[in-house]
Amino acid sequence: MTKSNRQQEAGGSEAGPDPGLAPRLQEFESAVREIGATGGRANPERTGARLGLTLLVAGSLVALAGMLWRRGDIGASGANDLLTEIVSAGNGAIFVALGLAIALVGGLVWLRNSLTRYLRHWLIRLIYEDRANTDRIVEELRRKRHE
Amino acid sequence: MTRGDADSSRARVGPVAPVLELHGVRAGYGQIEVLHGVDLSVAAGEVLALFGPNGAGKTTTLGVCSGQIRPSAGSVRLMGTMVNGARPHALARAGVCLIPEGRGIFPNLTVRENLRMATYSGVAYARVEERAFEQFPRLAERRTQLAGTLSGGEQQMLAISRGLATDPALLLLDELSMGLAPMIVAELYERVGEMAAAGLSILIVEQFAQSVLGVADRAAVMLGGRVQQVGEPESIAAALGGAYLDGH
Ligand SMILES: Nc1ncnc2c1ncn2[C@@H]1O[C@H](COP(=O)(O)OP(=O)(O)O)[C@@H](O)[C@H]1O
Ligand SMILES: [Mg+2]
Repeated sequence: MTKSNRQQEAGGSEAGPDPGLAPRLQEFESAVREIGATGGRANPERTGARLGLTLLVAGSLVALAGMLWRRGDIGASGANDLLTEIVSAGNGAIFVALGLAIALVGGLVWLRNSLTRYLRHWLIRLIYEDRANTDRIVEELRRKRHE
Repeated sequence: MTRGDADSSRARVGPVAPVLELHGVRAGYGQIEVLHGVDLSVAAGEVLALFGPNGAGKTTTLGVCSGQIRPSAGSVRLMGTMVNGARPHALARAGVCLIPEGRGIFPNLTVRENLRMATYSGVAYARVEERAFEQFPRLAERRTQLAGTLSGGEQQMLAISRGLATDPALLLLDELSMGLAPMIVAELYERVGEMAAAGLSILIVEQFAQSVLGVADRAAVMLGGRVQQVGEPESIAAALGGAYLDGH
């Protein structure tokens, strides 16, 4: 088969719902659509790890502020807006809880992303080491056979 | 029929979108940009050969096409759909198959065990083996041999047949000929030609033009992270004329 009629066959016919698409390509087209790529950015793990770390720090700060607040009793008042109400009711404790929750989530996000990065690196190292090792063994066996 | 249906069917009439299309793709490693705006397209059933000297960014380009490297700018489209940022396994499952430079196989597994890796995609093992051994009878004789002890050509055959077992729609080949004797290379590309005849769209990356001339429909030259020239394989090869072979 020549190069040019190969191309016609794969993309030339006018019948069917998708003009000119071979069945495998129709499948491919819908499979690709289903991926729903987001346009993603370079290095999502690094972004994830940074986000997690930020959350961890921010959460801890909120928790710390809540604790200080509780000591100082800043929230104790008769004001009637909701926020002040909540703050005084929990006596700052709600901020401690919220802060800890944020820090925990942040910590998990960070751990997950940095572990992924680390494990990937580790896996690649293992594979290369494995290959080098096989090469060495094969080389040694060859030499033995030739002796 | 709703209006949406009518619109979408009308949208499909006209020229079919290329199977693979890169537009203004920039990508690199960390802070270092290697691709400075790559434009490239592979039509349905077409075999495109991408030539370029060492370090031009050919492997990086394939990395972008297979989702292993995310572009920092530009677009990667498959069948007209943008896939920037798609995960490699998602693209592989959809039908993008990369046969990497060097060895894409597991040297400490036997031929058979390596082929078995292809069944993760849901293909029956008997089918995988049947296809592989039909294409490359030499693998059948060595089915219990460790892949690392195969010759370079046989390892490449194994990598190709494992990749093809997943029934890809787009095949990306990275320097198939590297370190192989010309006769083996010719045999491998003969098989690649058969795959193309069966309708597979293929992007071939090679440093030297000679081995691919019988297979490619079109050729492109990559230099310094950009595609410099696209045209008939024969004229591209003539234009190259060993241009970047100087000093070797
Ligand atoms: N993992 C990597 N980290 C950093 N730089 C890389 C990496 N891989 C390749 N490069 C650099 O990118 C450039 C292009 O490489 P590559 O795409 O492999 O070229 P080719 O396949 O055309 O020989 C080279 O300058 C190379 O040094
Ligand atoms: Mg390369």
